[in-house]
Amino acid sequence: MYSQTFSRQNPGCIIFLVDRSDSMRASWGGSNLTLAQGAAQAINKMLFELCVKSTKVHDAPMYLYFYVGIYGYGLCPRRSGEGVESALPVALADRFIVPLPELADHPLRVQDGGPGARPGLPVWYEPAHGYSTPACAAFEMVGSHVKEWVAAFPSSFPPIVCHMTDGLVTDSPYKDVDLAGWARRLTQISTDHGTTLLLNAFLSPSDATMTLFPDNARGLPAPGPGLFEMSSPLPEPMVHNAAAADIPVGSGARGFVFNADFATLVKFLAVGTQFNVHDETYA
Amino acid sequence: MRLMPELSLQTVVFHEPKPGAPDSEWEDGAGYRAADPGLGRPDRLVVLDGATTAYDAVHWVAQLVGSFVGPDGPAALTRDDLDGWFGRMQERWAAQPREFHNIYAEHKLQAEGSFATFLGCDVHLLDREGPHWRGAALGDAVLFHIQGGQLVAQLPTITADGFGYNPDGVFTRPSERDRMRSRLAFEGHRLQVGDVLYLVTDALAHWLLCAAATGTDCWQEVAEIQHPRAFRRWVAEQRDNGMKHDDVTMLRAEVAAGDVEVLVLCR
Repeated sequence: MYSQTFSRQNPGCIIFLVDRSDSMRASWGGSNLTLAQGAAQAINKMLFELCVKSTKVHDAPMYLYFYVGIYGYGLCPRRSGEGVESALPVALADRFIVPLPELADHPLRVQDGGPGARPGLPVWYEPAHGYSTPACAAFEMVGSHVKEWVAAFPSSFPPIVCHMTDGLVTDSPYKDVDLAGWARRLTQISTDHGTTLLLNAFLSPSDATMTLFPDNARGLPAPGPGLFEMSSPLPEPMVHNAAAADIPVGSGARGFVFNADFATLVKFLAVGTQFNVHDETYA
Repeated sequence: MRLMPELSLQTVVFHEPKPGAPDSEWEDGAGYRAADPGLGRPDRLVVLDGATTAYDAVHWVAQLVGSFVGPDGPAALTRDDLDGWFGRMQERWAAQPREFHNIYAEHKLQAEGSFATFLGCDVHLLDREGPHWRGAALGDAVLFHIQGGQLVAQLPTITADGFGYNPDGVFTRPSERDRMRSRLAFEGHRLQVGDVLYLVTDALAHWLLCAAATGTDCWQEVAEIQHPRAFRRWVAEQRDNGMKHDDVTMLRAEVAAGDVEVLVLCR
């Protein structure tokens, strides 16, 4: 399981699911960012790195190694209310999981690189916050689209869902199923190479003790144990990524970070999303 | 006075891109330069394997092959000469004008650049010390020296389980130059008529080492390949039997008595 490489014949699917509840307005300890701003920066950075990986030469189109999605829950700026929605840039807003080269061509804006500097990094996702934390409904929506994707790419590495939140779910149970149940439904969707991977990052504005890729939930306050149980065991490619980044992971480590600061969130997402592409076979 | 027999090198290159890929996406490279006794230059062979994940590996490999067998290649396969050549290659790569269609390519070029595994070999057939080869390697492309059907020398000394996705190589980033210099491996061996050198990239090297370990007469098997279509069929068969799905390149150089009347370059 989880041995499939990311190639043009068998592209991967990486989804960012971000809490946009009101509490994401809190300042992130040790940085000058709010939780919402930090999550947005981390998402944009991961997307940029995936774009770079998928680029081979200066005069050829980007290769399609990855499909990507961005979902937000809590505030829905496009609907001017609360709920779950695709948080892709406006040009792609009526879609959910799109080929990375399309996303690459449609940033919301490009950061100013400064006078005389090279162009800055593209921005696809802007921070937002407001309302409550309807994570169950979010998992349901992501699950429905992930299911469609695996039907189209049954031989690919399973989808990876990176969930970032700072709070307690407010819509559980939803349709008589609690958050753990929705997470189970999501992580039961599989390709030939394994089930969908769910990584959970719990963001904390305080300087509370951080726990990265734990192999048990002992001593974690709520909602740590629940999020730990929902998080997928790290497959070998992610263990490899962690080792390459000098992050120690034990046997049975899960894709979970508790009380993440900004720098750790970036490392966490890199372990879960930054894989070598390898065109062993072609369509 | 004992006269040395006239020797020559019969050289042929076979290559095959990844399964289903067009030839334009073959990211290996191979080259050969005939000896020039007047200039005191030996025969020169090279095989490179551009990294799939790297920036524009096809052009980096082409630059390295062209230069290595050209007039501005390293004078000799010594650590100092190769280090100087690495520096010249990096400068030339950096000086190439490029118009970027997007910032991803620009960032990849500047932040990561390109790299390729390298295996070069000089074959001295007219040397007063007797015919011999001397090679230099950086990465997991491998030279096998076959004499009387037996493997008598290998460069680098890699085992079947030593192949990975992150081997050493020739990088475009100047910051890698010290490491490249220090990681170079060297080897050499005497040659005689009938000896065959195989310079192969990692997928085939790995297959050959595995096959040899099981007692298969793999050297005879590859010696019998005479045509690109036969090579293509043979590679397809081995891929079905577990050969890594990667670009495959084999440069075969056989020491023959007398002049070579025909040089075969199979593409």
